[in-house]
Amino acid sequence: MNLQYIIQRLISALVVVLGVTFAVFLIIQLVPGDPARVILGVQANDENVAALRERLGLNEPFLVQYGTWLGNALRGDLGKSLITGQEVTPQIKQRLPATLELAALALLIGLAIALPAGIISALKPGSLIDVISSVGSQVGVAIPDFWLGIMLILLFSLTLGWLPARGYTSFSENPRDWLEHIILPAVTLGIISGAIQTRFVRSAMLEVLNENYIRTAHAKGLSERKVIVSHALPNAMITIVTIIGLQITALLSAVVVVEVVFGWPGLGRLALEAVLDRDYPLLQGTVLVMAVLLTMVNLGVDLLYFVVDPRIEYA
Amino acid sequence: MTGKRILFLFVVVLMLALAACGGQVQQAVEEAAPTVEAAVQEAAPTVEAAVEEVAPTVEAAVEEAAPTVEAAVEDMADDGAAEEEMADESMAEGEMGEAKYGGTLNVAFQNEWAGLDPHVVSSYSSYQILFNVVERLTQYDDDLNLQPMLAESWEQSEDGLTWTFKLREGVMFHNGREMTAEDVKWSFERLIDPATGAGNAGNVGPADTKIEVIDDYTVAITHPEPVGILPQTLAFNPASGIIAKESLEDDGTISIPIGTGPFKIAEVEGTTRMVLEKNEDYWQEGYPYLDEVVIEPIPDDTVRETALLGGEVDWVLAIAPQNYQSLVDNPDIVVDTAPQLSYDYIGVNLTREPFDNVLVRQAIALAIDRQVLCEAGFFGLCETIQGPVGSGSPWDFNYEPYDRDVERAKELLTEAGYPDGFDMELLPTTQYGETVRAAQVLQQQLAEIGINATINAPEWSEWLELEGNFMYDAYICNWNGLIDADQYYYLQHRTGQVFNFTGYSNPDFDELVDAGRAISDFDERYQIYEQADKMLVDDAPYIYMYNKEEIRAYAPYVKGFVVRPDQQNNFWTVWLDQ
Repeated sequence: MNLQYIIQRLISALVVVLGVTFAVFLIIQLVPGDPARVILGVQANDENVAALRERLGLNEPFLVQYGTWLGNALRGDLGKSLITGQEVTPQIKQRLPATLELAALALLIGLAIALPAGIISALKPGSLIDVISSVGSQVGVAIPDFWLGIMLILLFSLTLGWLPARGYTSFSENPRDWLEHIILPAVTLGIISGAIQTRFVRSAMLEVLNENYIRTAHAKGLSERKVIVSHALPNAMITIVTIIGLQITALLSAVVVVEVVFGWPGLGRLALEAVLDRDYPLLQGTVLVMAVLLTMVNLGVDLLYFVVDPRIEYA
Repeated sequence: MTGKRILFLFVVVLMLALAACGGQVQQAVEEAAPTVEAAVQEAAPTVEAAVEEVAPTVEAAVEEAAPTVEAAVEDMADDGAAEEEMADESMAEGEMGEAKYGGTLNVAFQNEWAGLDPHVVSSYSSYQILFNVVERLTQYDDDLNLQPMLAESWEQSEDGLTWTFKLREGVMFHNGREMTAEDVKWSFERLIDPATGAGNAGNVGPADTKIEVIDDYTVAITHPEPVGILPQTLAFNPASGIIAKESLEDDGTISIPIGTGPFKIAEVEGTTRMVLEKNEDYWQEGYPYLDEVVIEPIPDDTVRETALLGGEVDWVLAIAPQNYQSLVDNPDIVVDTAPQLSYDYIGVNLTREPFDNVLVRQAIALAIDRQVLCEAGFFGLCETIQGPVGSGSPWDFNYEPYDRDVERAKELLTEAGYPDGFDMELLPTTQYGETVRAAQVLQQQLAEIGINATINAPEWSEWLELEGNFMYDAYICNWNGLIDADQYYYLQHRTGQVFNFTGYSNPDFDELVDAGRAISDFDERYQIYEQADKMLVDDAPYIYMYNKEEIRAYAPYVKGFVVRPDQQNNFWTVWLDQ
């Protein structure tokens, strides 16, 4: 891989991030709903809405508002929440780790389910294991995440009393508490993510297992284990890494619902509240951070290909 | 057979079994139903009889007490005499030796707070926090009697234009400074300043109200027209709270108000967590008991209740009415209720046809079955009402012209020129689930008189946009925190007033409610508002449905909490028996 490639990718990442923040800002201004009215609630009348909008700088033309925001953002100032008056940057900093931890653990759980299930199903197509994992992944894909979350709460929290229903303790404060709180939401996300990934892993493996070189490897007398580990898996890795990259993106959006159900103080929930309250600076800030995060993740995945497959070269 | 086939057959058999059992379960329920119904019906007369026996005794007792209570209220309203005696009384209860000091109360609200600037916000969650942090000159106690708070006494001038308040000395703000008349002036002036955009500025008065500092502990408020109920309006909500000017940030906003209340805001994490800390210098001796109150919003009903049942939180603000019974039956939870002095209602857009025709509105009011709406909307935990004021309020006029009469409703519609009914749209909001449920039932009831209603249920900010701009036929919502007659009639229905969302404008009504707030005598005001009530109910810009029960649930070791009909949640009387 060469420097030129990385620079090209970084520039296009920047364009994507700008485009996303612009589009979000445009859309949120176009939909009905006004932050001044949200703050004033039912007390809003034309006079005090106008006065509040003036005070909050909402009467400026759209491009001026966006430009001001962008200028400040490039200097590290993401502004203050319209609703609570609190600075956006500290709020994001404080809530980002919770989302990252949840997404990371969910991804690991998903992989822990998908990799074994997918690989074994591919090795033994049509067997009972294959059928169970197929049905399982169908069900997993169909289940709504909030339903699964609430069901798990009812079972493990209410009925069995093993785990808390909601909340967050940071790892540094109390690792055991952290685990107890993160388990249910991570499993909720992980099960569904795992269900989706199982199918892809399975088909990626199946494709590879049908290749000529696998037959050659068998013909050479290699053990089943060696064939899988040294020949089949490495070749399937490209597809699998792609899937993981896509799943990370999917997880960072699915995390919103789970955060709401479990009262998880993460970025997803913050973004949702910002949308519902029409809190423009807060929304822009969270979207910016998410967009940067995701473009970096995708870049990382693409760079991972070089590691996974030495044949790849980018022009 | 391969594994696949076996599994497939198993699934099919399972589905068939479920279908069969489902049928059986249904059958069993249907069979049981008549027996249960019969049992209930049998019990009903006995219960009714018992209630009837007790009722006259209760009535007599209330009637005996009434004149004394009335007189007391009048005395206090006239010139605010009652002094620290009142504060002493409530203190005595606390000092009975039972209450324990210390501890943290974990509280779960339903919705996040939309800001904490008392002059600007109006969300219920915000107010609940502010009632514990910021204090007003006067307050309503747990029995909804007007009491002194930061003001010890007050009197009205001869011409009725000026109210003079004597302030309590030695009250400390959370930043260590003493509260003086200057602070009252600053707070009130910011509230009524049009640039602040405060909806509740009317608690103090119009923008040209004069606020004068007479000395450190005396402040005079002069209105352009006489306002007889200033002591009451100052007690309504935290908008008229006294805050220190150091609360202001550089850009003129307030994100953490510095007040004089029993708790101060110690930590705020966005809108997900707030910690209130005990105010060590609180002016009411002996209060508060708690060291800390930790507040978190949990929007989902199930999760919130699970958190209570699992001991993660000690106190919960809103209970889903459908879960009321199961919580009441749970010996590990205390469930407390009080009838709200508020209402769920249908607000009609008088600027649109055919709703500008009073006959149409009356037809709707006659066609609805309020009992069924109450069952559907709030699972029966409500009282049906035909006017704004429910039973239990001293302002209950009991004027009820709208007992259900579908035939008469149809007649009125025909008279109005709509013999075949018409199409309309109902606008509840997902922010309040009960309004959506009520809308669904309403749709059916309206169909009976030929009105074909569709339902549009947007989320809160979109709903606010539509409702605020008269872009609706009829919306469904609720009011709460209403205590004085003025709050039921003036702000919502007087021409041009700040909460007049329907476009109602009746000069005779305006005259009445203007007069009602210019005087202080309860009997005089009662007569005025009785007429106003009749006018308003007849004109029906709001069609009243029911008055909900206020429900709180908390752990058994939480003591001293009082459920109030005005939905205020005061945490300074709470202590933990642990």
